[in-house]
Amino acid sequence: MSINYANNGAQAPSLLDSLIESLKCLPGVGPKSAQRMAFHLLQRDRDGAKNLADALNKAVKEIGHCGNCRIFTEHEFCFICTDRSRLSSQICIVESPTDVFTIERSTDYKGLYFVLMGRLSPLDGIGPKELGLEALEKRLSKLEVKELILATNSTVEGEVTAHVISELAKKYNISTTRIAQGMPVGGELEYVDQNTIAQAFSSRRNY
Amino acid sequence: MRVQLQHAYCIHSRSYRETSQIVEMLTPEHGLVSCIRRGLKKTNGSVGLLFSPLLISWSGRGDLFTLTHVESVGAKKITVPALYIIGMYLNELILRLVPKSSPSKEVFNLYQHIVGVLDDGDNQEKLLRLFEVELLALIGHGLSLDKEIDHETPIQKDCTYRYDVGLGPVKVMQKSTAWNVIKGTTLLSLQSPLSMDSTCLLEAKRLMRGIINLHLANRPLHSREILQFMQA
Ligand SMILES: [Zn+2]
Repeated sequence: MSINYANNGAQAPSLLDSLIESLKCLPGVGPKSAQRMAFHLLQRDRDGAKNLADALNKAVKEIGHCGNCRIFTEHEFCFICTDRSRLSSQICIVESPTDVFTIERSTDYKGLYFVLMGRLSPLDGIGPKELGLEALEKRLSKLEVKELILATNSTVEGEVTAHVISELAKKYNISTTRIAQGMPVGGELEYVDQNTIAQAFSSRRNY
Repeated sequence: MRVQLQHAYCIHSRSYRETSQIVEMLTPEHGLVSCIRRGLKKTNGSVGLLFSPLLISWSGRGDLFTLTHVESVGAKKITVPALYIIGMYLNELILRLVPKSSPSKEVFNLYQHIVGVLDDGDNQEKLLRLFEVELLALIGHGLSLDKEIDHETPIQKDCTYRYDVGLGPVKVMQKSTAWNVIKGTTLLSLQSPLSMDSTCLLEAKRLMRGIINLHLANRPLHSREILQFMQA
């Protein structure tokens, strides 16, 4: 018996082929690891495979975005936005849902979030509309927001995004802060790149 | 093909797969070059290349080369986030208007010059008009700013003209709010945008926007949308 993974000819791809092909959509998974995963699921863990398929199906069908901050949730509003102990006077702006979890894990921040799901990148066709800045503006105009914390990445696009949002906040007299940039904790000057040192130098503070 | 240590500015970069980027580089001797930049770690703080003078090497064939070396040879030219957007507008114009792999020292020098002076002073609008007028001229869409459509009759300050793209200015009798109807003085002053006065500047902005839109087949410039969002 010969197994044809490459699926030549005009016939429809075999189920195995399409499984391997589908697994390749995962980050960091090339053809080889996709094949390994497919074989593992089929050979050793068919129950696991069923659970995975069910979970994926359910997740894709039911998980949407929080109506307030846009992080993933299957409810109308997420667990952060519905937590009464959190301060609605602070909104932290981040680029992606993972940033929310990173901040939650690493800080004692008790305010709310707004996830942009990207950053302004005009040459990729990502503008204010794509980032939901109109929804953010609605939130700014309604709520008792006192501080916007701009936690977008420190790339050119992240800075532009922070700048545009800070201008938006000005319209509603909301103060904005930007997360600090500079020397990494535990970093040594010699090993830090030029741009970071330049940034750290220009934003030095009294000590 | 193997090209060593060329001056370059990165016009655009986007992530490609996990650890690579596709970068568009503007060079004097090879024009706009697309390269793949491999082996980037997400945590690397020096990923950003925009607005920095670079020296790059690349190799390969076809439309997409492999970037084999990149180093920055000076400080980032634009340092104020508010001006990044203007820089992105320049980049978008370059990317949309300049044909691939058509070498032009002049386009490179123009870009380098404008990016280099954006940070100083508050004449960014004038610099943008200068960039637009000169870029169009360099890519073969130069404007006719001192003569009418017959290439003879000089433009007069106090007359009104309709600018027909590709042809030139035609004198008209009535004023109009159409984007391409402008005063003679605006046309004349577009020859040296840096010394424009503020009334001309408004008209010039409207005219240049219309002309550029036509050259872009009316597909919108996204960086302009951002600027407009901020002004709204
Ligand atoms: Zn939420």
